[in-house]
Amino acid sequence: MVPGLQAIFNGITMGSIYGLLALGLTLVFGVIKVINFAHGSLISLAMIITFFWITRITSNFILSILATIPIVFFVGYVIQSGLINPVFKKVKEREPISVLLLTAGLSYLLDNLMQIIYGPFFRTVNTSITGLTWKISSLIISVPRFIGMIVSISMFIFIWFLLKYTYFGKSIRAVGQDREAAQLMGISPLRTYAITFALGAILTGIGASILISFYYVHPTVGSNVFGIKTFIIVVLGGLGSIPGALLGGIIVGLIESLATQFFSSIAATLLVFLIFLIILYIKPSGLLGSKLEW
Amino acid sequence: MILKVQNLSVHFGKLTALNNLSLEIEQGEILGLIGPNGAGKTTFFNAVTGYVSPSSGKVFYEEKEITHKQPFYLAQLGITRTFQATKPFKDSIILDNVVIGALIKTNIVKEAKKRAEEILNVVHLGSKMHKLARELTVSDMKRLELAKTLVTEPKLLFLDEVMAGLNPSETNELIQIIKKLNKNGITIILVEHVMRAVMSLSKRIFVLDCGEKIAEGTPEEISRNKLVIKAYLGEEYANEYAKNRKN
Amino acid sequence: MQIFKQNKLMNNEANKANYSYLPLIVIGVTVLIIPLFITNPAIMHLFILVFWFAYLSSCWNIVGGFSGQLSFAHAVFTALGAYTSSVFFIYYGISPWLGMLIGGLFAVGVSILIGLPTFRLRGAYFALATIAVGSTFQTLLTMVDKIGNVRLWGAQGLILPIKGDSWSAFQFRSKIPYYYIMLIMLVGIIFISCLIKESKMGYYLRAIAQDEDASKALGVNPAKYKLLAFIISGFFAALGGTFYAQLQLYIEPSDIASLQLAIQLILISIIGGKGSLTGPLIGTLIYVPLSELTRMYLSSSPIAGIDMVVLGATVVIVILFQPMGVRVFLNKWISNIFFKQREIEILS
Repeated sequence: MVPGLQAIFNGITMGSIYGLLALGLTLVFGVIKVINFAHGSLISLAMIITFFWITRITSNFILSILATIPIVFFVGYVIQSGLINPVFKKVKEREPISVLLLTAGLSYLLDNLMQIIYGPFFRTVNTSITGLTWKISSLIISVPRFIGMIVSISMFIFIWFLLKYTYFGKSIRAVGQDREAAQLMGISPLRTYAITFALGAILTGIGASILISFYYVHPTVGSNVFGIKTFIIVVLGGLGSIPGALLGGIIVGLIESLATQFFSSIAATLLVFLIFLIILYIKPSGLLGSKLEW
Repeated sequence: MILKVQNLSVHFGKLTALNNLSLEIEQGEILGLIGPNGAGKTTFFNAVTGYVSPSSGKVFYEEKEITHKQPFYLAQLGITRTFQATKPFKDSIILDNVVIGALIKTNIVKEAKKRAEEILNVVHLGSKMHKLARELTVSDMKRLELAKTLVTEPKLLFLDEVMAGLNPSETNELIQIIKKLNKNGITIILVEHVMRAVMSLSKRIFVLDCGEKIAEGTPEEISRNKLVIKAYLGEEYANEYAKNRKN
Repeated sequence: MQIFKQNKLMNNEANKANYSYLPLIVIGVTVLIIPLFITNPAIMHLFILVFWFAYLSSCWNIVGGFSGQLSFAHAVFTALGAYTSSVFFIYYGISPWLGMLIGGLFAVGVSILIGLPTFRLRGAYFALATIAVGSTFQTLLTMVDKIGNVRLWGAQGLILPIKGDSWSAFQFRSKIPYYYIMLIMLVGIIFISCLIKESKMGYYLRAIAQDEDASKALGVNPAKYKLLAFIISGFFAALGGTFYAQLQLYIEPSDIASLQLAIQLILISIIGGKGSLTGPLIGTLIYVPLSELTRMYLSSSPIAGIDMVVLGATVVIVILFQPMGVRVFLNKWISNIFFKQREIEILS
């Protein structure tokens, strides 16, 4: 069995999960044209909420994830409509810097608030699938990650379908392309923003919830560990590009996995960074991004 | 010959915005560029002034090739343009708006300020020098736009629909200003929909439709050209016109 | 040079009473004589930190405020400065003063390396790219224990050898020299910012910040000026990094190379009012004491990070109500109290 094969497989599974985590970020950027710096905090938040459900209320993993979704939707909706939309109303630029900074401040607030409420401990959960592995010939499949990949790909297909073929999806894309024109069509941009943000939050939440089946829970995990990767993935794949998020995620996952296997984890970080820089040099809009989004 | 465009084409993916366009402009003339919306006029401007890279073809300025060069390089050579939607620096005062343009010729801010004041007086904005650009009326914004381009001492000036949104007396005033600029030696290319302005200013007119040149000539010739009438006003009118001409 | 300036629209009487320099003199003298009255080293340390944050925020302001490019990568420069001078000192015995300059030069090189690809991106894209660069750098520093013979200690942090009072080793037992050094650096960066702001470069940066396309038509090469601002900003930020290393005699990535630090600098300038000279100062005066106070009063309970919550909340509130920063609000307030409705831009 080729030693690389295991690493490749791990890279693809983990990468798809990264992609799902990045999907919400790229969606929000593609439509609302803001970078949500609080994205990492949302990841932590979702992880903590799912953690709460599964350790206190029910030990059923699926139910816990489902129970997290409405909470995360609500939080996302409130953030957009309560904080970001008011700024849009005041400032008329297309990509207001203020929103960027607002989400940065928000990220600070949320991360530290979570630290205060949740506490400083790194905890792990034993879900029904934690630690489970399958073996196919000499390939070891980590079940949580594998399921994560399946969920991720399903979500991508779902979003792709939603955006391309449903009225709801089209109205989101319309607002993303031209706020005023969409308004003339009877679509409320601000409300669409709120729903889009909430939708992004759900996608992120689902991905984050799955994480707890194999990763430890702590308020800094979202921003410091995964958040950074999602930013790199989103730029790599192309801001606003849905398939780009998945592609970017898998690329990062593969590089990480292969480089760690054959060199070291330091090399992995360095390599991801290097590839990222090279793409920036050659095609700053990302692999699948373009000047005309969608 | 100040500008020579050779076989210029611009493709945006599958969309052809400009198709094999060639034209020549003599130094000191005013050329009018007209055509229905979507004809490619602004794309032409963008391609020649460095905002869009042509897919094929060449552009020569004073015998030197300038295809694919950046706008700021062209500005140094004396080529400058206005934008269809005026682009003032909204958070700066009018004086500073023009100073930024004046700094192309000098590194000293004091000198630039003096130059800027002079130009602002020429376009009758002197009294509003310290107002914030975002507080201007449409007509004043157009003047500001003009002032900004003038202060760079252009030799070739591209004006993109400068008459839009002006009332008749403002239009007349602007026509006079443009005539004066031309008399001072500036070659001007205008894209316009306001026919009165185009007809009275242009020495020659180019007509574009669907990215191609469909007619070229003096204002008189163009106003009688059947193809132009058809492209602009529609087939019915063209036939009407032809019928009337026969009688 | 005018930091406190009068609005040009004011009429003659005000121009004759040239009191715009008075507040400057008062503040200047106060700040100079403070060390004579304060003996508590903790409070001195607080002052030094205020100056330090104000210095770094002013550095960031040159590229972030003047040209509107939100760079999240500035912690890379501070770390470069801190680690370079420390490594050169520990392993080659080179004075941190010289190390400071070397660090600055490295920062120039790195800023070109980072700037060239990223400045092609606009707005939020640029910000994102710098976040990625900044946090990757931080992660790398955390993971790398040694490069060749040189030990960087990764996450554990680098400890500088204590040499006691020594100007050549840039170390002092008392806080007073540190106080004046940082003060001089702060005054220096404000002076440089002022020079830039009123020069051709300043005008061009403002044009770029407002409309890159329009500025191109007027002969401005945005990439060149953004990069220039970035280089200047990075160079001086690195100097600030070295200072910190010499002050604390201990540096670690989560401190000096962190995205958190970069964000603090940005948020400080935003709160105060980016793109202005006094904005970073105002922002620091709000942030640093606030965070120290919350830390002091809530140190009894194990609530860590409450100062961050406060900073985050402050930013959110400021952005919601006065995106141009507290400075604008202060100007209006001062105009109302001292000049009865005449709107003057006192703090420029």
